Amino acid sequence: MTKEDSHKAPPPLLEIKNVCKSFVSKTSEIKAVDRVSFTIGEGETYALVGESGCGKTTTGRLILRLLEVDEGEILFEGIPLHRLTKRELRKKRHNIQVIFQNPYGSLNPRMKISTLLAEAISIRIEKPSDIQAEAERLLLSVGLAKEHLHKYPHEFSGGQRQRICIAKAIATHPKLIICDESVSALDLLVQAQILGLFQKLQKEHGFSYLFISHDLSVVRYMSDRIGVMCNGRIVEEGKSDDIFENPQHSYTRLLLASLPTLKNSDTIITTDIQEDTEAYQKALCDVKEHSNTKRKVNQEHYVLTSQ
Amino acid sequence: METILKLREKTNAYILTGIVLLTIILMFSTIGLFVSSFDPLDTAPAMRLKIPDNLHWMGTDDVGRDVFARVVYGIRISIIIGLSVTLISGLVGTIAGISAAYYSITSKFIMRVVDSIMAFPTIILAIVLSGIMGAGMRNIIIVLSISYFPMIVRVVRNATAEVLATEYVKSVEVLGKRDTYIILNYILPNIAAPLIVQMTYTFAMAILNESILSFLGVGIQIPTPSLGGMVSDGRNYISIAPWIICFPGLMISWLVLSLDLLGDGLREVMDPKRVQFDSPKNVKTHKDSSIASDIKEQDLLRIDHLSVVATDENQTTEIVTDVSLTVQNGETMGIIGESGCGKSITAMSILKLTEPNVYINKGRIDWRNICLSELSERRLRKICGKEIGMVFQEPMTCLNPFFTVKQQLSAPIKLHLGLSKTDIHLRCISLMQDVGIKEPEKTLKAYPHELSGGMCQRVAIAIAISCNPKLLIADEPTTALDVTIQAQILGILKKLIHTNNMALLIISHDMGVIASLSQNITVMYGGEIVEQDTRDNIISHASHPYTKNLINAAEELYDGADELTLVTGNVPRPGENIMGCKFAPRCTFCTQKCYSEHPPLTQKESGVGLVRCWNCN
Repeated sequence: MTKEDSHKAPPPLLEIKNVCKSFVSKTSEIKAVDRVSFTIGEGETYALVGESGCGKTTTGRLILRLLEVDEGEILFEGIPLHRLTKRELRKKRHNIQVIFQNPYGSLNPRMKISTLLAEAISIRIEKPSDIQAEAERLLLSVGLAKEHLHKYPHEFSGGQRQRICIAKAIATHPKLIICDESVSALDLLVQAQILGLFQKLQKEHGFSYLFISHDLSVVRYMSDRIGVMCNGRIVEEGKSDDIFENPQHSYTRLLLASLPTLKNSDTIITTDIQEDTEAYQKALCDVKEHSNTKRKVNQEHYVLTSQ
Repeated sequence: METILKLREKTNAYILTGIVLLTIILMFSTIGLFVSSFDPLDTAPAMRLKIPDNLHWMGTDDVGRDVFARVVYGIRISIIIGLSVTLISGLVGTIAGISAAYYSITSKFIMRVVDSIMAFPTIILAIVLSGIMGAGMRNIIIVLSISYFPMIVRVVRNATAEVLATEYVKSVEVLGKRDTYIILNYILPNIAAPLIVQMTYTFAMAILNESILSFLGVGIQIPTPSLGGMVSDGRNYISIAPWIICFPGLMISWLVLSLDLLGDGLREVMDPKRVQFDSPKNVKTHKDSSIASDIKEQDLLRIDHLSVVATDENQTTEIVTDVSLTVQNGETMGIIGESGCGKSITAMSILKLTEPNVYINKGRIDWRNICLSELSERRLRKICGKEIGMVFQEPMTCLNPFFTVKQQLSAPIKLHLGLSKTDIHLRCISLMQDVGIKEPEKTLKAYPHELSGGMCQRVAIAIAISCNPKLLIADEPTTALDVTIQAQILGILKKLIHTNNMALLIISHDMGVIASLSQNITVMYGGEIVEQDTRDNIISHASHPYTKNLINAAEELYDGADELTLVTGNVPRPGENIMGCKFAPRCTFCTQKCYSEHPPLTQKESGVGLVRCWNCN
């Protein structure tokens, strides 16, 4: 599957329409997610990229219904997830799974790997011997051995734990996996291993990913389409290559220019620090003023404008 | 089950003493019941106030009852009451605590009830309640349970809230499991430690308070013997018959002491945050005096064959092996490596900032012509801050939340430079401008929590450079920051090095960060240096396969390659016994020799750099 043909009019698996979420404290109200809309097709990888506090993680948690939406709709296969009762939701939940950032905090330290996997597998398989076989198969498919079944999470390294988290997430045969900064805590070489694993599993099972990350280079490698988030809004959305090669919004450009790489290592150094900071703060403020008008750059590439 | 196993491994002196003391008193009360020939209730006016002898081992009281029989009986009563109160308040408290943490509607109600109960001092509440309900064992148990369950509710609620916030609970929620499943399999096992500790204390407190209530006459009804009641009875005869009050008093202290010891011990082994290390002060460090300290004039910092070890109860693990590097005046040196490769430990060792159980084992560190590794703490502090500045990863936590930016920034200036008040103020402002803070006056008055992460890191850099240090050590200075902020901070560092002619030792796992700041790069893997060379040599033609892999991975990701080259395997764990090259299992070029012989760090054939590989030269 290449990036080009994978999303030619795919039937939307997940559709998010004008979703808003605010966090209210005694003194202030913060709009964490503001009129966010996007769709994810079957087998597609969509990425939300932005800095900390831009609302990307909140968006992921709204889809998982770990948080409730204030306004807007979240449709999964046409079903409004946000309106389901707790009981109805419980039956649907296995369709969307999540892999978090911190592999040390995402596994119950008091459970053996076999128990951890069995609890997820038991959602679709009931016979204990089948569960055991399936757990072994899952571990193999994420590159671990079946001897690992009888160990506790603390006996594994960060990369291995993230593999266990992945095995657990795919155990329910989900249709969508939300990867919330799933590789950010890993070292570069391990990160490459895990990203490779994500792609291999997608080819085998055909599920969709919502990839949430602050790391542009990871996002570029993984995703078909990218939504750039800033201050709760998606300011630009488009095909991965379009965003990287033809960024339209000033914030996207800033984000791309900030990336330190081996090749442009000298160019990121600006002589005037003050100016640099101001440009950044201006870009952030501008987003708050944006209306909801979108300017189309091409078929799938649009940018939020101030008019 | 696992908790018990863990306990057996880590049982400490407190627990052992507590259990031994508890067993002794339990055996005493059980055996005593059989060997005592007197009934605790039988009065014998003729035998009153007898001193302890062969017949009455603990003497008799004012109505001639045998004190030994009464003490033995009293201990039983105390333990029954203590145990019942612990179990009842434990059960009620756990249920209430979990539901308070779990369901926001019940939370308000439960916590208000708990708060109002806790508003009264426990003992006064217990006295009032037993006054209303009347004396008697059952009522005492109820009264003490009411007094003690609020504390358990609080402990359980906080522990549960902590567990609920973890990602592993979120991910099981997403599986669509029921709340009861989550509570039984996730919450309970993870809150067991604080709960058990709290319950042990409750046990001790319940025994003590039962005694107090009985002493005051609102507890166990006369003539049923209870330890507190006996103390109360005996107080009128304290001068003529001290044994009446002494023996029950001793038993109360014994019971409470043993339970408290047990509780303290449990808290220590079950709470990992309280783990204490052996102080390294009495550990003899081997200084390698054979290494000639031929320090060149321009060498600022010179690390010579440094080895660092970490100790825990069972073993000593070498985490940094034979690391040598020099930083010259105005030079920028970057150390890159994956987590656990020893790069931060190396940097921390320079100023002895490592945890107390991590210390230098071999080698030496020289600062100009002073040997830092042999310097006393006090003399080291004079160099810290003044000549060597340091910036850490977490900007939010390295500033003191109780002081304003100005207070923190001016402290080192006052200490090391001794400027006047107005000069200090002017220097603060110019430092603020140096790190790109637009409104210096306003920021100086702010407290750290009022600033963003990027601003905090700027302030931290300003503090580090406040006394014009010759060297700045930056340990992952941008890892916790967003890319845009990272670019700004890197810009600031680059400018500062240039204008202040400052040397920089930067540690990072990010090749982009290292490449943008350093002239020379040291690559570490598994606690040792695998390659050391100039930036351009490392980036454009790295020698060591590990360095090649690192650079390749960074480049592929950024260029949006279709397939990533995968390097299989994992970083070796510290202390793992590897005969050959540590990277051999993951290396595509490795030969038989790589597995059997450890390669030395040798001069590259092509130039000045060093590399640790059999196949590179």
